[in-house]
Amino acid sequence: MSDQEPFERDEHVDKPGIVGARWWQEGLAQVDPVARRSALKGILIGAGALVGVGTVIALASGSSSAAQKTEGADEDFKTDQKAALDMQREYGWNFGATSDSLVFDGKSTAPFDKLHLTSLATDLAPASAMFAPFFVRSLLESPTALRKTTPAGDPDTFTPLKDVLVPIFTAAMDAAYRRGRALANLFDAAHHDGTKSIAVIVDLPGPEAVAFAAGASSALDPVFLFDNWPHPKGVVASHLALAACAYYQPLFATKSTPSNAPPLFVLDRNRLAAYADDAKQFDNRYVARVPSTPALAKLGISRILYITPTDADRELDDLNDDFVYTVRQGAQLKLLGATVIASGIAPTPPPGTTAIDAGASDGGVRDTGPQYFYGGDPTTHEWFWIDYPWSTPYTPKGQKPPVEPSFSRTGPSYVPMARPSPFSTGALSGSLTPPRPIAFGTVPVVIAAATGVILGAKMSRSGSWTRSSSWGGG
Amino acid sequence: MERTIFAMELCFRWDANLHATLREHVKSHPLSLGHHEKWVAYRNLESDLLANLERLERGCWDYFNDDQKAKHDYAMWVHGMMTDETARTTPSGSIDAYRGDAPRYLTFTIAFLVVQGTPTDTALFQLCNIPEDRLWQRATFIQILQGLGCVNFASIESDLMYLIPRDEDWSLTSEDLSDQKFQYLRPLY
Repeated sequence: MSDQEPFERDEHVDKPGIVGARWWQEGLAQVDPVARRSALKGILIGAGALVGVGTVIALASGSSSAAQKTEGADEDFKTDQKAALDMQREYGWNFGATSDSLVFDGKSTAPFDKLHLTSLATDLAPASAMFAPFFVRSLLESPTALRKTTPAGDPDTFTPLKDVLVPIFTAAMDAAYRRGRALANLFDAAHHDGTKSIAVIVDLPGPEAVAFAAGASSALDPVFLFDNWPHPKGVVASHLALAACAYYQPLFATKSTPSNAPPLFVLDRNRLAAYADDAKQFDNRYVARVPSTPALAKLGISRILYITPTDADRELDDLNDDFVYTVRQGAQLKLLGATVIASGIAPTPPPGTTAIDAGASDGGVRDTGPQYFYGGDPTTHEWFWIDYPWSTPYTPKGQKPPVEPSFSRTGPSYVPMARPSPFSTGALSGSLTPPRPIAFGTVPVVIAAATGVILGAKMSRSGSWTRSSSWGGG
Repeated sequence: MERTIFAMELCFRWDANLHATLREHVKSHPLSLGHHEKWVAYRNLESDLLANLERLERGCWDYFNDDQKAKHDYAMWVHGMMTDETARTTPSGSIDAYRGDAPRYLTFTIAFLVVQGTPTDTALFQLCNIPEDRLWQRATFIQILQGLGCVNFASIESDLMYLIPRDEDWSLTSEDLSDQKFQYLRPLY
């Protein structure tokens, strides 16, 4: 947001049935009213009674407040905001929505043994112990987690997430995987030095981020930063990222990542997804826990390659302060749109040689799909190291040097600009303590006023709570 | 700061040109823009809406200057946009104008969350101070649309616009509009 362009689009829908958007002028929240027109207060006029909409939409007004509120005239219970992940760890992954199901798009038909999910967090852990402190295993631990406490009114039986989880594989994941392989080829230590000073951050929608990491894992060390659990009403559809993890688990389990490979921090770009209604949604959003600049410097890393869906995308708000601070500290940060890595026709290798390939193991699966290259062509592939001059292009003996891609790339010249948002200060020097919206990542729960015992998720009043009206009376 | 809400939803008999025009208004609205650019964008939109009033069949508008009601209702409009509360969830099929198909419809919605006590709020209050017997008159909708130039977007905390449907073969049918959830869209006279 700027003074010149104070309105920022913060909601957007673009589906066959509807197209629209909401814009927000955040700065207004800090402005005092010009005058209080009390004479008008309470006057309601208008033609639109909104009876129809009003009956369809049940809006909870307490979504933005962490304060406790007393419910009902009898004051037998009250509501409070609790950390969503804490509640799930205690009361189960589907807290407040035990009768609802997860929906998986792109189910894989490949053989799958859910018993292997018990080792998911181990199989997807970074290869290097150096990166272990940064590894966030929350999501990867969720399949086998059991409910510790049964909320009043919920069924006695509990279905662990692993019993409903199915692997997925989509076309977008396939493309992301191939892009990851292409990047791994560029980071092949046999042909490129200087890569140890680079940390890569891939920030794509969950399943694609996982696929990209799988493809890149032959030369980069994936460090997953997925810090939430899936939920049937989750704002963040992290069950899809988890389902992608399950699909690629065999590959990760057998990956041959070199022990000194640069880190690849893996983020779900949906982690700050739009959230409006705590009566119908479970706020399992979270902020990225990317290592700080000083922490990376201790590992000898001074260069960051940030991968977004396209060149036109920017870092999410929760990274803005970090990125501004990183650049101010003298580290180098460049952006790469994943779509700059595109499919191309691989050259026929000369006799006795092999084609350009990331060389990633496919876990025994024969890969007959297209290869991807930086710039979309084998001849432009090594131009990556011209655009990102942190190493030198590799030109095999007798081959021509790389040529520049025919389309423009803005990522190499990207400079993060400080911007105020609910997740960033907008301070020019960046900030080590970015703000967080009130009640972010929390869920409203109902608490017995007399005992302080958590009775359940407030959202479930539209489900099991309505069948358990005696809760209101304590 | 307290808030006021102004919202309007218009339901037009389907017209491919009108639909394309309105869709372009939504799609071309920049991600970020300034107060004046916003005003210009809305004036252009209002002009196109006014130019197609002969196709306007139903509608609703509201103005509430009760803070809690304003915030609640604005969130409700946003929710209605972000979910499938009113839009179809399945296609209604392509329109075959040569076979005398039943009429199809589109709706266009705008809403403003206004800072209470500002000149814009006052102007909107005066604009919307309509006698009850004229609430559902077509002329009232015209009057309000024509008067929205009074809005200074420095006093607008948030605005939204949406079009139902995006694609022609998801247009609303008479049966859709007879559903309970569309009862707030009243026939105009």
